[in-house]
Amino acid sequence: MSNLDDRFIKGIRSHDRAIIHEIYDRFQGRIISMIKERTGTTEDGEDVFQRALGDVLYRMIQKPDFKLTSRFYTLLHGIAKIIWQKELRKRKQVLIADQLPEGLVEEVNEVLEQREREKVLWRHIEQLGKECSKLFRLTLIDKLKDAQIAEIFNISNVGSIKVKRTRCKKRLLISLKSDPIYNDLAKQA
Amino acid sequence: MTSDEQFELIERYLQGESSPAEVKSFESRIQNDPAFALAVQRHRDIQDLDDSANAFAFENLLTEIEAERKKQKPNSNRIIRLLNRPILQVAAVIVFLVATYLVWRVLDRPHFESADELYLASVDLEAFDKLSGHQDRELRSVELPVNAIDSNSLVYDAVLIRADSLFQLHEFSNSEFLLDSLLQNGDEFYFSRSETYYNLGMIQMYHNKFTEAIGNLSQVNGDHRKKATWYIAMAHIKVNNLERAREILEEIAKDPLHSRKKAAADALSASNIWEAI
Repeated sequence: MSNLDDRFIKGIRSHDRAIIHEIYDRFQGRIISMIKERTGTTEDGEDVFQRALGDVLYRMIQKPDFKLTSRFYTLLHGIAKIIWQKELRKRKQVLIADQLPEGLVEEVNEVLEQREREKVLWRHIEQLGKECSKLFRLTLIDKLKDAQIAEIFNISNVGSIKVKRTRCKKRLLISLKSDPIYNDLAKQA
Repeated sequence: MTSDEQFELIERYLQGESSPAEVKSFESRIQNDPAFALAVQRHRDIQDLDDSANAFAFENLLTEIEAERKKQKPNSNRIIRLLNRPILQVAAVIVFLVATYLVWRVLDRPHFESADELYLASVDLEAFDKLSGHQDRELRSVELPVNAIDSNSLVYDAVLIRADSLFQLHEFSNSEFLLDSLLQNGDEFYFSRSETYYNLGMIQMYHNKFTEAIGNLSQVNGDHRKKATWYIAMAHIKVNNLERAREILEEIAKDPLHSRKKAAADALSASNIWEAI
């Protein structure tokens, strides 16, 4: 991996604003051009760039077995093309006959489907009730330890946080089981 | 099995706490019981929520960064209001006329409607030797109606478009020359070396330069690698290196993910391997 590509990957992993700005400076314009050449607008290009970087590439590079086998821009460009193809299909517009690498198409589709399932899960979490949704947020988003969570909930017994978490997880599972949208998405996984 | 028992079973499996026998039985059940597989997927998705929180935080960060970048763009409404003042209008006209004169007199830059024209107008192909040093001022100063980041990337895009249009016109030698020059002299930041090897190899296949094609297609990695192996096998047949062609076709026939798996198997079982071509 080149030093430049390595810097981009590390910058994305660590949410480094300066490096993300640099990625925008270097590559957003080219992606927008590519989209405009394929019947899109500037706004479409901006949207595709953000989705390629945020929805897909970020998730791909978090995987423990991720390895950059091409240049960073080549990967980002490929992802953007795939996202745009899917969008054109959704809009029932003519598809451009682009040569898309099969392996990457599969991987991008997998990541996008996973993201859709995640969005559904978070919707269900918000509907679980105040206590459970707060517990999930403190654990997953704020990344607090059980002792800190117990303090927030004003509970002296730290072990009971684990019990609460299990109970909330079971409620979430029941909630998901009866959601046809989630079940359709999960069947494709 | 009660729902609590199923919950514990799936949690143990996903935490890696099941015995090997339990894992085998569990995975067999996933294959044969769609409802159970769905239940496992639900657990898995909840387990993966840990990563998703970071991902959604990153998406929010991008939204903030986009908003910052939009704020930094010049405010065209403000400019229009300023230009409504008469004295500023006169000053703007004078500046415009002077600038136009300077541009006309001092700069004699060519203007191209397309990347193709750029290369039709290129004086000679020596320009490519200077790509890595970006010394060719004529190419760097050209205006093109594309929204590129910098003039260097315009040059690379133009090269690739030009090579493709020469190939379409069956000018294989010229197309080959361009891609070869790119590989020799180009800055890897601006193009994919692997993809270029693939394209160069394919041009050489069309041009019946099979030995050269084998060399270049063998350099291909990543997403084009599988396609390249098929054409390498074809090239070996063309140069009568049938043993090597068979070896490669056997690897392709064994690869469940290869798009030419069946074609390779058919070629191997044909009475004459030349029928594969």
